[in-house]
Amino acid sequence: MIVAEQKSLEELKTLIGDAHKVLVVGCGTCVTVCFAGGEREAAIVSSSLRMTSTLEGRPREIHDVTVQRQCEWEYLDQIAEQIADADLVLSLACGIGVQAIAEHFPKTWVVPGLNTSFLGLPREQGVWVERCAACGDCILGLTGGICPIARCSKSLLNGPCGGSEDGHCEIDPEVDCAWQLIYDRLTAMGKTQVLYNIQPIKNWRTSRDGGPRKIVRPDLRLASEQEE
Amino acid sequence: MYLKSLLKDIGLEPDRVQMYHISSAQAAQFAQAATEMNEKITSLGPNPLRMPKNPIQDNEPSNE
Repeated sequence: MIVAEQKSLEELKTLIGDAHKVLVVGCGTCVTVCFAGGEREAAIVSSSLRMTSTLEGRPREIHDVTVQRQCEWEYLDQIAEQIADADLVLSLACGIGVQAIAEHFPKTWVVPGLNTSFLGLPREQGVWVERCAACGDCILGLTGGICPIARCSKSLLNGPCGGSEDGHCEIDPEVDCAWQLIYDRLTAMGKTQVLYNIQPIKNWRTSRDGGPRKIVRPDLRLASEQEE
Repeated sequence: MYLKSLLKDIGLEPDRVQMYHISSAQAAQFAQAATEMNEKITSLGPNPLRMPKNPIQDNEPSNE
């Protein structure tokens, strides 16, 4: 899932500036489960901004609404009227949702309420850790289900570097050495022979390094939207 | 407490909220907590949100 964190109230106030009528938009998927921008968080942000605006002597009209997913047009269409009604939209979705609102409502000024950080999972309640780098060429089948691109600080492909110490990475003693984890797992499953297949230099063109990416599925496209 | 830091960010005194762990059998402690909280709140004064610097122009309820 996408993991994000809310910006400070101070920063939100700066982003809102002089706008008098603000719509705070929450999202019901990833940012709900990392407790950053769901319905409850949208209501709390909305209320906090109302209170702080009143205390500063500049009362504002702040409403909040949450959609199931902010990254798909159909869900945004449901709140089109409320968006048109606002001076400014404060989106509590990940960066994708913020941009979806901006793209779908070009006359609306949208600002982000979160810092979108990484793709990861909740290792335990309250702790989210990065697991995927979205490199576009998944090699998890070769590493026992542990990703060296996302979890190795150097994204190495053929084993640990000299900085691996006691199973931890040299950049931070609390960060596991991904290759130690991979080796341990393959050993436990009796599949260490996989490590003898030396991986060549990675083709990073499928990753962010190749520029903004796009996936087209001709089998799913609507006939009316297909290019000639 | 998370709520205290939230109130501080908003601009209200964090001491306006306090959590006490008291069981229903601890009447004396409850009374003491109520007295203590009452004194604290009285010294802090009324909720500033009920006395805005500028009157609110729109129809939003001001009981936040």
